[in-house]
Amino acid sequence: MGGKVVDPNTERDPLELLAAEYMERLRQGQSPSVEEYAAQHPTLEEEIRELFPTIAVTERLKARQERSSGGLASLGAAQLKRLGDFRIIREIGRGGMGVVFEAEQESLRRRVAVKVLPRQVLLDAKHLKRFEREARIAANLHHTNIVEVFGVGEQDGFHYYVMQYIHGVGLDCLIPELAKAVRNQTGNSPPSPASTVSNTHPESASAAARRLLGEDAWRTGRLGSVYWQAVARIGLQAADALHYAHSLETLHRDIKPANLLLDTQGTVWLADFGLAKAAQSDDISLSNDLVGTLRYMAPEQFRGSTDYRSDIYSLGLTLYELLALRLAYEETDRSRLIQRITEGPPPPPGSAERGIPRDLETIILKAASHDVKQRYQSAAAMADDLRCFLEDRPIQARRVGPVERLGRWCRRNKALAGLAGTTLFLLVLVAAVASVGYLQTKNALQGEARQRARAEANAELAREALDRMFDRFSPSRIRILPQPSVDGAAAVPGSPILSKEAAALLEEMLPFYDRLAQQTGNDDKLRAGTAEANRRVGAIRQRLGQLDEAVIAYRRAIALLEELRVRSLEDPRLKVEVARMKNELGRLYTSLRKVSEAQEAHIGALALLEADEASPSAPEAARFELARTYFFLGTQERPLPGAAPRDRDRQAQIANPQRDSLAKAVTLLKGLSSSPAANPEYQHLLALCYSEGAAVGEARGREARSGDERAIQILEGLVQAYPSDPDYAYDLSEAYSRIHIPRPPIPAETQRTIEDRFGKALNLLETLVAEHPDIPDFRASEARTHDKLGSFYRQMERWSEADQNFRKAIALQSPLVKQFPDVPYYGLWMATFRIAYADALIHRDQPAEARVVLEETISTLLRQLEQRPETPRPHHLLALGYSRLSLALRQIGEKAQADAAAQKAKQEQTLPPGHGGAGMNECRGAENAFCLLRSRD
Amino acid sequence: MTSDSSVQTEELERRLRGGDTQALAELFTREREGLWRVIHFRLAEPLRGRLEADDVLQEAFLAASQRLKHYADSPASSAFIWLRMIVNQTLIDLHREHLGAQKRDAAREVSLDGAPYAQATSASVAIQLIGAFTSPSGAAARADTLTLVQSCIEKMDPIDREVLALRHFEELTNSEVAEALGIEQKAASIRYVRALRRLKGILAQVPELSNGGQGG
Repeated sequence: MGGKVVDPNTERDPLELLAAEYMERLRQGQSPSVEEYAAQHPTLEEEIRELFPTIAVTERLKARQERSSGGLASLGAAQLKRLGDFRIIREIGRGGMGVVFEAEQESLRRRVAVKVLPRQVLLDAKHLKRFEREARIAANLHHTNIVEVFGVGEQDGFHYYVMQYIHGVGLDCLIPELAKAVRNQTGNSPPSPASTVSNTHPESASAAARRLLGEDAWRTGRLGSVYWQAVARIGLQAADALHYAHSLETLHRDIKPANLLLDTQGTVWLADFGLAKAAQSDDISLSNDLVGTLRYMAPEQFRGSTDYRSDIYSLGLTLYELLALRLAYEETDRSRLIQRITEGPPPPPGSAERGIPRDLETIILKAASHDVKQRYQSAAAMADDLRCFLEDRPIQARRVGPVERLGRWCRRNKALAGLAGTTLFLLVLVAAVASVGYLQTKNALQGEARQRARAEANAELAREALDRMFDRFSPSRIRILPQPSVDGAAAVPGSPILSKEAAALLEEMLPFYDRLAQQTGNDDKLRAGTAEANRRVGAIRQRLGQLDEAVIAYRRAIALLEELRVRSLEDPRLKVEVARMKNELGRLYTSLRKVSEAQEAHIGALALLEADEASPSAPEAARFELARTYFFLGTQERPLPGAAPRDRDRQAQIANPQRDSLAKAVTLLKGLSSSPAANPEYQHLLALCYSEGAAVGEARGREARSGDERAIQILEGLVQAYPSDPDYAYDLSEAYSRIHIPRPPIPAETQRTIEDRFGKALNLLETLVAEHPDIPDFRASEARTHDKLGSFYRQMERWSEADQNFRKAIALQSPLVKQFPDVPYYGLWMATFRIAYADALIHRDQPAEARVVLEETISTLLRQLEQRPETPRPHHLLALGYSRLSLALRQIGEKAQADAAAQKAKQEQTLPPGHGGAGMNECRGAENAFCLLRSRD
Repeated sequence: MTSDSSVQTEELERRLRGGDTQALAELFTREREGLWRVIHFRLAEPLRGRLEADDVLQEAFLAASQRLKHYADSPASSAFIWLRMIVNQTLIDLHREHLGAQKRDAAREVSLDGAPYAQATSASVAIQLIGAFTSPSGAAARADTLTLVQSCIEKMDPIDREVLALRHFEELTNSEVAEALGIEQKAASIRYVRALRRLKGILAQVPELSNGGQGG
């Protein structure tokens, strides 16, 4: 503030001057030491020791108070005993919109349910009026399947909503119980119904599940017609109730499993009519609880339009979950969930295994149709179809076939509409030919030559059709560089897409390919086709994240190709083909972190191609494949985070062959890309070589930086020329974020450069993740980049920014960990992020929270280790986790536990390393954490 | 505050004195955090959850733009202190409106150099210190502690108490405190150290607090 007084500081109490500085540093998230101040100011030593801790405590309490008041909606410290005429008996449940109590209305001696809204929900007169109006409307609904609303009230700022008490259970509790029963099959003996159902206790979800499944299904875990009929009856009652409400022009707006109650008589009750609108307010949209509601919102609701058909959608989605016994959309992250919902319909509930009746599934999918016009146009129509199903009469709803689904998909994605015609044709062709071709092939194996020839022709036709589809829907390289086009013409790389639709289509293509891949016979042509089909199966599996299956398919393809090559007297084209397959297998192993298998595969490829190295006349395809092979061999092994740091000497030694390998790749690629019409992939790989060279030579500072800069230069050019190619953007982002972060103190200019680079990288990655939500690498990279940025802020002691970035990393990583449980790498990075986050929490004086995070992280790591005993133990990560835990516990005052954790940390550090040869370059997360450990302990 | 930003602030104040409403909006945005703290700190507990700090800020901004001409004609203080005063007045009006005169008696408010400050500072300070603190013994214990701390703070010299509150909970600098309370910087400085010593004694009576704060 611009003071008007002439330097008044001389008059100020010297202790107050120091206190002001100390306070300021605390507020910036630093941890200034009282002792340091005391030592630096001997004249004030005593007063500093006496008073500064009080400053620290006051600041900390204030910060805590400010945080807690900004939190989520809750009833706060208030303990409700009575609300007007209503005596509170017990809490029944808690939802996004309030806490529900069982209560007695004393004047009428009746049992009621009272929903109390958090104070924040009804902020102003406008909201309050809306709440009262909606409640009045809901009170006008009288239907056998709608929970009756008696009225509203207010006390001490709490607004409440009085309704009929239902002796039953919400479908949200029921569905997990059903899923459990089906999963467990016969193993566990379920609790007896007598012990759980009574008149005074709440209907237990497990007992309700048992009743719904029927005794047979409860015992065997196999769902039968009893259950499907029960689901249809639930749907019918709810649809009837909706129809009634809609006829009175009342929308529910928040149909979801939690709002469908099933009582002991099997009657369904719709609860909370209109409450969603009544409580609509901007600030509660931040509440996590609302995700439970978002999940069932119709896509058009996100665009701000709601009508009675949105209720039909939500009911459809609720019934979907009763069928599938899992969530329709699995996403837990809010924005991703919204994205998924607005993007397209949920995957089919999986009728094949479960024996879901086709008609019932059709009805429910129609109700939950993504497109408003495809839905039932009234709840009555839906009820009619459900009635038909229950009475075993034909239903009105028509099933959507793959052709129509594709047509719809094309309509939604207008940019690709140009492809629709061919694609549609191809899909029909595949469906028709592949199955016919398969049958014929099978017969042909024992049949005559003419028949065999026809079968071959059909199989090939089918495969070609599939291949063209495949290329159209999934040209994504997933970090695997494609071969250039054989004739040497510059192929413009297509944009890889693995949208949900593409993934679904690939899934649909898989069985066709699988059939083709299983053909056996002596015919070479058939065999080549089978090899190709296996390669495609592998590629599809890989794109779908089914890595182990992908390995099997690739290996099968290689074996077939090798056999062919031997018989064809070393056909050079086949040679390149085999080498390419081996390299792809190697990459796959690398992503499975099987380092030696990967190495072996690439060396196999090298053995095939090495002879071409010296000859510039060798076909481009062979030279490029050779360059790729050198590149892969030169790519340093990426150790698991938490691996032991290697000493410098060894690192330098090992780095040399890698550098040589990369240098060879660079020479080849420079030759290849000298032609003006060269494939941009040559440039791309060249950039990657420079980046990798930079990573290997990290010890040698200047060289490393120049390698990265060269890579950035090439990649920026490629991104500019091919803006829609995500791989170039991805690699550019990686190059940006590879920036070296020096030890502090970091000059301001360098800080700015670092922040700028990270900003550029994150910009690219955010777009990539938004545009390609199904490509895991993009997401993983965004998570790691946030982690790196977080570590940078940690070094700067900018704790709130560090904290923010670590949280972002965790949020990004968590769906990956869930989706790819087979990739331990994701789990280990997650642990790294969480430990870093916990560390930031400790610095921000939230040791209790840090403790929770750390304990959970450690137990997850140990559990993963138990489940996959073949993976090396991440000693350093565990050591780090324990040592942070010890620190947090000490701050909380749990001395004994803190000592135990410290002991465990020490133990982890002295245990023999789980795996040799692991370098540290790639695991910067852990490395930074180590610097931190050293500096703090 | 770097010299860069203080130059900008001076520029803004100059424009403000010229009656520039755009400058007022800019200044409001700049000082938002500080003003939010005023509200967060001064808002009486029964109103928490019913009134959002942002709503109060909005009201205060309207009030400020209405009174801008008056300020421009005779600026009696720096712009931040002026804004702070307006926020305080808005708060008092809102308290009256929501809680009625009986809850927060206008007679109990002391006037310091024209700006009204509630004795309710004691209650606010106590809430800041105890508010988020949850002891195992629950809400009853919290209420007891709150009353204890509040009564101790109430016994402090009113200006000392105000200095302490402004320094820690509104995060004002020494010179801003001096300006807000209309006292000399030297006095504000001495009063702060004295108040801090008293606070140390008060906190010592709440064992959970001093334990909870010693870590790290």
